Amino acid sequence: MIAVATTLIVGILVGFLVQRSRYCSIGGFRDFFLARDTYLLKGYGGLIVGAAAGFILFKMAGGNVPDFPLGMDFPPLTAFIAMVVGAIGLGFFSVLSGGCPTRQHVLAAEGKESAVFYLAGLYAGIVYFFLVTSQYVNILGS
Amino acid sequence: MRTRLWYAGLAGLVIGVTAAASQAFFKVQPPVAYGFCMVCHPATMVAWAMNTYFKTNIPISQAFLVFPSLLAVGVVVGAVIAANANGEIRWRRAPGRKKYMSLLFGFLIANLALITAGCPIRLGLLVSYGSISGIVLVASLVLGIGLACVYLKFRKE
Repeated sequence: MIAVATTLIVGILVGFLVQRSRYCSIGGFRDFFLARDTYLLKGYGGLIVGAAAGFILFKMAGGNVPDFPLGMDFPPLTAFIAMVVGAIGLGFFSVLSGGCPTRQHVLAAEGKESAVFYLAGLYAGIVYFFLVTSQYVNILGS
Repeated sequence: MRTRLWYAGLAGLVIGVTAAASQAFFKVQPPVAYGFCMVCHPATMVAWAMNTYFKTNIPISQAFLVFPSLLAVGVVVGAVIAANANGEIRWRRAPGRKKYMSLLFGFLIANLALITAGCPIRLGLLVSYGSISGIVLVASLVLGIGLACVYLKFRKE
């Protein structure tokens, strides 16, 4: 129950911050490549620095941070190739769709119709993944 | 400028620290570096609903076996509060083709992100967790973004 409450509170905080700051994980790299604008890119840098500092400090403080640092945590080769191809596709299609999934949730909350359709596709895609795609992923991972 | 006041770098920093704290002190794991993911957490919510109402047997993170993650609900609520406070909520219609392309992109991105290990934020969290595969995946993500930018420039010309 504590995990559920945490996700709700963290979600509200992050939703507020992302709406105000226009934070977007994909938009940072896109703006840098297209216009040499680093405003959003600093957001992704801040994420990595903040999380790394958090993991280190919280581990020192006795928090539950197992196997830190993970190091060479590679899955089987075929599965890893699928993950790399998936990451390239994720970056490519996220630029074409106009932002990362977090940003799309925020845009839908603001009333952007295309973002609402994006979320409909995202949730339908999740169902499809569980029913179909995951069968193939399991084969690759075994 | 208002946007500068709520600096994106600060937002990223807060997301990172709260994601780390969620794992370390509030049981949002396994897997590790799972404190924030806008595809995996909605996926656990969908899996929970499918298991509960359609009696499927989809594996769910131990943290969300009884109740589903409410991260996506929280993000929407937080964004509505912020947008409402600043008069930025209004229905913005999209042209027909764009709507259906967005639907398709959302569908593709859900599958690609779940194959990969999560959304771009989760990949960043894996890098922070010292994962070498996470670094390769973020590099692949950036390659995909770069290819899309080249495609956009080419199409513009």
